[in-house]
Amino acid sequence: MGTFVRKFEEINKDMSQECGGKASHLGELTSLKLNVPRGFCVVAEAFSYHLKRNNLEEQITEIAKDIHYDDFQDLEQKTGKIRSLIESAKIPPEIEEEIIKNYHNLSKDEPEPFVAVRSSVAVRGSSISSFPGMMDTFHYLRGSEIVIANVRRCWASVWSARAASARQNKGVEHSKAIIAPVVQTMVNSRSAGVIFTLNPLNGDPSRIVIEGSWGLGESVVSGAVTPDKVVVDKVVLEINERIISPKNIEYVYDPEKRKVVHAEVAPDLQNKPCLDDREIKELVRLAMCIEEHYGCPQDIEWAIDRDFPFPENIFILQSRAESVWSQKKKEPVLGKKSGYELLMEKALTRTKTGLRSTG
Amino acid sequence: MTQMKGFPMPLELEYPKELEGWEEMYPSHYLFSKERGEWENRQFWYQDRIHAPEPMPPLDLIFFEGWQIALSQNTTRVFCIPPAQGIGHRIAGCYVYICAVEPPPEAVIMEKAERFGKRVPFVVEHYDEIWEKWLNKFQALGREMAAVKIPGEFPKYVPEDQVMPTLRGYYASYEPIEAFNTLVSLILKGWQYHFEVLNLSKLGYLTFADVARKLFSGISESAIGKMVAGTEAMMFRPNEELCRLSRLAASNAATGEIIKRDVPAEQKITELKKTEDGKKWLAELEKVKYPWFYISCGSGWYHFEGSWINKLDIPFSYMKSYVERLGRGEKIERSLDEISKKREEIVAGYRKLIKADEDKTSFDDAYRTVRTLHRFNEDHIFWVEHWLHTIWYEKIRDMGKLFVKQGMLKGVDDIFMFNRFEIPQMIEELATGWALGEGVPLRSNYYMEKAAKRRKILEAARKWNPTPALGIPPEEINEPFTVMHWGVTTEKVKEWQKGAAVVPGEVTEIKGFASSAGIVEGTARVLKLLEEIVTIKEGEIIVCACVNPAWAPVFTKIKAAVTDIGGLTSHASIVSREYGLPAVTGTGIATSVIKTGDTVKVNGDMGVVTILKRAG
Repeated sequence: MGTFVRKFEEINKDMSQECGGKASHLGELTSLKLNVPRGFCVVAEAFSYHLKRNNLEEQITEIAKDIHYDDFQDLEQKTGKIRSLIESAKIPPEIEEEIIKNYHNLSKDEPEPFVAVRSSVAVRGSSISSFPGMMDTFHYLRGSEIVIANVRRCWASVWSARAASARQNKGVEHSKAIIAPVVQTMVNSRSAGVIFTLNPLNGDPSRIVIEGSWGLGESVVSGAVTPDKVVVDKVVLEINERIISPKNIEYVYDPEKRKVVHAEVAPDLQNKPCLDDREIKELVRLAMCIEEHYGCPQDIEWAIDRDFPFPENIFILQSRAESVWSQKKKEPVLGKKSGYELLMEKALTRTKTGLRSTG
Repeated sequence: MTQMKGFPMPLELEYPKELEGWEEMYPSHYLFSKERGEWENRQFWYQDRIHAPEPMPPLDLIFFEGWQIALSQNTTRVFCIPPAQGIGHRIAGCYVYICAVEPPPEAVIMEKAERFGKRVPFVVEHYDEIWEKWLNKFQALGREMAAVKIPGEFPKYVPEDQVMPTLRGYYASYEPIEAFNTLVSLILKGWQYHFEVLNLSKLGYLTFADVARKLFSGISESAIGKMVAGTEAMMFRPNEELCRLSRLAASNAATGEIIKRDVPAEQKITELKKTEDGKKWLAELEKVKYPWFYISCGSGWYHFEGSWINKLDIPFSYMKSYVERLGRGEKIERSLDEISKKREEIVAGYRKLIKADEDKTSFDDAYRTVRTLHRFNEDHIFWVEHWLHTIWYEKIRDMGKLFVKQGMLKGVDDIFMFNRFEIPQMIEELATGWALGEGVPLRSNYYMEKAAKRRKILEAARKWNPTPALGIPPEEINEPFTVMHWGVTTEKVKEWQKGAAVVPGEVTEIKGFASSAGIVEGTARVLKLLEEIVTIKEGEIIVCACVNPAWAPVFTKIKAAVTDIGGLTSHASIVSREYGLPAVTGTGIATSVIKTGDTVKVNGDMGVVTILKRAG
């Protein structure tokens, strides 16, 4: 175990103070023997160390105390300054070495695999362990230098205008923000999307809803495409509904441009389902396993790799507690009714049989 | 409000000219008529393709006559299900059309509700007792029918012992009159019993389905079915007995060898009689035959289907395949424990998802109610449609033999060409002729010609493709039995309205009810005739108009089932779920679109059948 880096295998869900929310969940999922892309976390301590070694703490506090949060330009300008301080400072070599060593060990066959750098955050001394959508994720990175640069970029994102003003709104002190970037092997995503372990439309706890599209999952999460939708019964595992939507664009990595582009989906694939039945069944199995483990409905991100055979190609990227329905107090739907009362109720229901009864 | 485009109105329906004269085959009240026209035009009539997929032979209509009254009275006058009325019948061109009668006036609904509230809880509470009594009285009724004696012929002179020492007073002329009247009374009474609490069991099902849907808005009908379906059902007993006999045969090399031969059942029996072990096995077979071979080879609704007891080739072919499979070390029985366990797991699975304790209690109670009421739903089929009908057909054939013997009909089964009101006339004529003395002519030609003509009409009707419905459909179909049992839904009616624009060769995907979950691919075997059931090979997918519960033995052999007809609580669905096979029912067109040998994919989760590759 290093000082500044922890592998997913060394992380569990109770370590958000050290590794941030995302990494602690990824570690927990890894420990469930789920297929989580291999990765590691640059722990919170590393960021503090980076600031300390570069004497940035005071400078940041100085700039931050004058931010006018209701003045967008000011906010953007001052946080930008802080970001560039963090990004341009030299990363301490002891951190750098550890990151590079772990990066090279990520893949057996490839010393420099494609990775994503994702933010994993928390608030010191608080149970808040995510700021959904506030932090940046950087995809398809390759090479030690690039990885290091993006870890710094990720650190800097703790001072994005959005994140800073969110802390301000929630009354969270800036110094308490924890960021612990995650470096994770890139899934060469053929299809990706999200799973809810209840029906997000009506809260039906017996359904699993999978949404997915071609390419990277960001197209689904951001709402750029209308995804395919599959509704599955948790108990009998039947597929109840399957909507195949026209998916005309996908987010894919363009090796020439060296970045993720919004590409046009081949015409013959646009109206094809992005998941087959076998994949659906496996995703459902995984989702139920995760929900069972956490004991509450989950919102899960998944991806299917182009290169691996089934089922190793099915990856779980993230899981968090579903927030809308789970927080509602559960009122009885039926009330306390006897079998007779229910029978009686049914027997009194009018039905339509012919012409007159439709009026 | 928009109405769906109508189907022909009942009296506007046009018939092929080969059907001319069909009306006289049936009782007059079964025909659409001007004097009831206004009422008839207000109802929506659809073909009862579950019970009457084929043109109706006049005598076989007696079961319909029985159930129209029995089912309806239980809803309207006995249990008084408040807004519901009966199911009305009509015949048009030899096909049976039925309708769920429009609801009664509001005042009547309130009146009925009061009685319903008193009567139904009583029934639910005393259900076990009621069921036991039912079985006793029903079996007594069947035995009474079996005891009816039909003379083989009219004697030249009555036997001595009817004259001396005591004059009996009534003689051979009276016997068939009484016998037929008794048979008719008993079959109608049997059908009254049939519905004793059946409507309630359906209502119980619907109640539970409602509860489940309130808790889990997305729950499918097949998932609900899985929680309710019984494993103890009598209907599976004949097959279980076949499994037992097959094991017994397989345990003895010589006996097993004989059962496996490719020869008719009669020949196997002759062979078996030659050895001690064979005789022992035959003795066991004899014990099983009554009542478990009193099962129709089809649905039980048509005389021509035959029953195991008189078509031994059918059960013997099933046993042949069982013995072969035992030889390969395969399991032939369904595991009842496993099925019950699976059901309990499903119920527990949903229960676990209910959050509020009050809801859990209500769910439990509704579940108990439906499980109690549902037992009858599956058990009665064996006793009524199979056991009693088999006895009825046997007795009616005895009567047919008498007609043949006395020269009034050519074939024994020609008796089925006459309705139950006509047969007494024929018996009376026989009796009269006999009583009048020697040399008195009968109108034999009249009856023989009539039988021949009616056979032709029925044959022509079989080739005719009549409209699936008559009258103006309601904009939405939600009468529960119509949907659940007959599989008639708003969408289905819309499809019917689109008409027969289907070119069978071009269709690659067929939609129906997702009646039993699972997805498989395999070779299709399209069954058009009952006898073809014995040709089904291991691992094929059965495609038929309608699955009969009596086909259980092939369900351990096939991969999936696809039917033209039937909703989610139809027998096809129940049997498929019992055997854990994917099924898509109520497709309307599967048997005309799919050909034997086609490679198809059955998706029982979605209710879709895809033709992947056409045969040859």
